[in-house]
Amino acid sequence: MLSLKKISFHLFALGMLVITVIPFALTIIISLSPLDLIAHGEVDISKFSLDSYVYILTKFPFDSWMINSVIVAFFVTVLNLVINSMLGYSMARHKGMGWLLFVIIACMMIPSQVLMAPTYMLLAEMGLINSYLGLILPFIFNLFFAFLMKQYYESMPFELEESAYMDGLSEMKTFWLIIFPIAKIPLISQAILLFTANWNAYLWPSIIGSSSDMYTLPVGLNSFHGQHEQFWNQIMAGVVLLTIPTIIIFLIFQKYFTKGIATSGLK
Amino acid sequence: MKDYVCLKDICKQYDNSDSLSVDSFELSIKKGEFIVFVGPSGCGKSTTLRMIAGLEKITSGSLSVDGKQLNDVHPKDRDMAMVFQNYALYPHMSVKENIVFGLRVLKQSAEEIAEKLKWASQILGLDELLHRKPKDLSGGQRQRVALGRAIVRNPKVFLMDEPLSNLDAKLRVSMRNEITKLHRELSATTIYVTHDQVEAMTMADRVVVMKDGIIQQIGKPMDLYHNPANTFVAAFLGAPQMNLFEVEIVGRSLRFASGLTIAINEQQYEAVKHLMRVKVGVRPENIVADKDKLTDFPKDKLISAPIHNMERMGNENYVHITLGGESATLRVDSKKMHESVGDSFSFAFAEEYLSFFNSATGAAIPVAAS
Repeated sequence: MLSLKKISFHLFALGMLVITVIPFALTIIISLSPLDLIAHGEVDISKFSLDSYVYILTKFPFDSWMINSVIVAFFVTVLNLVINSMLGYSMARHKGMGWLLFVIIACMMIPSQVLMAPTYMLLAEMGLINSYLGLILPFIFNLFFAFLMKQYYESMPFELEESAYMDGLSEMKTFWLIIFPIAKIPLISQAILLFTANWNAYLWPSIIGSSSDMYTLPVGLNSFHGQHEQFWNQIMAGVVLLTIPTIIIFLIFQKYFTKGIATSGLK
Repeated sequence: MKDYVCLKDICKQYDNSDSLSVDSFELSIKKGEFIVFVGPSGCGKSTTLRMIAGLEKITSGSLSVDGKQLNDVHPKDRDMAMVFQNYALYPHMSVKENIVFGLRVLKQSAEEIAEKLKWASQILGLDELLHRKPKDLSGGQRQRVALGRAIVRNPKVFLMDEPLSNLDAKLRVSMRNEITKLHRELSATTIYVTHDQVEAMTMADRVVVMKDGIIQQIGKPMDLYHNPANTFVAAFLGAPQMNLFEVEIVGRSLRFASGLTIAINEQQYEAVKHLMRVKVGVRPENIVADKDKLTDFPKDKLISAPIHNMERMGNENYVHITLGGESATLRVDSKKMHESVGDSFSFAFAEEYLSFFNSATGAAIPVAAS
């Protein structure tokens, strides 16, 4: 028989699920409904259609925004995995890197919004405004994840590297063939978090991408706002399309993601 | 035979330490020899092994293998294989990948790799486990994979750093035999580190006993056992350890703290006559406690002391007695042992088995053969 504690836990979990699912369900419903019904706050399943989806896919350069988003999220994620791992590994293994840890923790305390103006000015000087490099470069490493990788590598026995040296590997090859792949679980969870965050990123891409051909999906979605009228069904259709890739990625790597959270010290 | 591995005056001092962790280590190893470094924790045996492997920098001295100076050579270029205490198998690779990884690094051909994998997996009984990951293996199986990874490379020198210390007692005995058998088959030069004197005695061609970074004695196991260079080696090798008593030289006799006096022979007297006091050592199995044999001893040579503890090993008992404030251990055939704790126990010292050590320095005092 279920105890009172278990019942209350399940009720709580159900409540949280409802709170999480309702906005997403509303997003889907609105995206399928005609604009006049939405304006009156009515729902009529018989009038559901994919018109909004067809409209945004045909009338807007949705595909080029999608490609931009894929390029930015992919490269930011891959570069982060490599650089964060290297940074974490060097801090975990090399004596005298303690000062870097202090710098990292100090930098983590600075809100990213504060850095946007100087970063913009720097990239403008470099001529990288409205370019992929401008979208990617400021985010190629993440101090928080580098710190987590440091924690992970510190728990790894030295003998693994020593064994690789004895097997004939140099330090660099040892990192690529042994150290990097061993951290598969925390790397996958990191990749999911980074990909999702960069896929959904709005503020920086809207600052750096000034022309429509450099828009990422979230920035592109913002252009659906009319001057006098809000096309909520089109906006929500865009949101649904924006969300699908991250859901697919999460479903594929869900197992590793939860494992990674448990082993990386995030829990 | 020419020396294969030469360690000359090797010293190791860590940056954060004032003293030497390894002090003037001097050793020459012949090709195919099985050398065991043995000593208590912190004696510098693993540090020395790691210096040979290249995993620790040599502070001073020279290391050469097959005539080639290796002091500043990276571990990857030393052509040595090492088996670690915690196995250090690559967790993301299968058993097969672990074993052949070193060969792939050496860019050996696929046929050669397959052949060596087959050979090693047959020798070590790993055929059924080749596709498993290390996490799915038992301690003994992991140890065999670690050995397999080392032997397929056919390196110049095998280094083993306490490879059996994570295994249970039974498995340790069987793995000990497997390693010895493997060494016989491969005749590979092996340097093995352990704190377990049983492993040192049973496996080594020669044993290097270390304490506080300094070599105490180098020699064949039985030479070390019967002729220890000092009280440390005498006490370290052998289980139970050698009994050591502080005695006074009175005429041609030794007087124990208990007042017990035993006579010594002419050669022993010649060796110790210039000293006032010595340490006398006797192995537990050399104290005569067999009642049939005790009848051969004159009554004044028989000693009685109460048993204060007894360990039953099955075939024999370790009998602990106190003799004038100093405790001593005797090995007694369990079938002939009827006394129990608290009872008085009779025994005698056979003078020919006594070893003598300088009371101040602990160094052995040689006694001429009679």
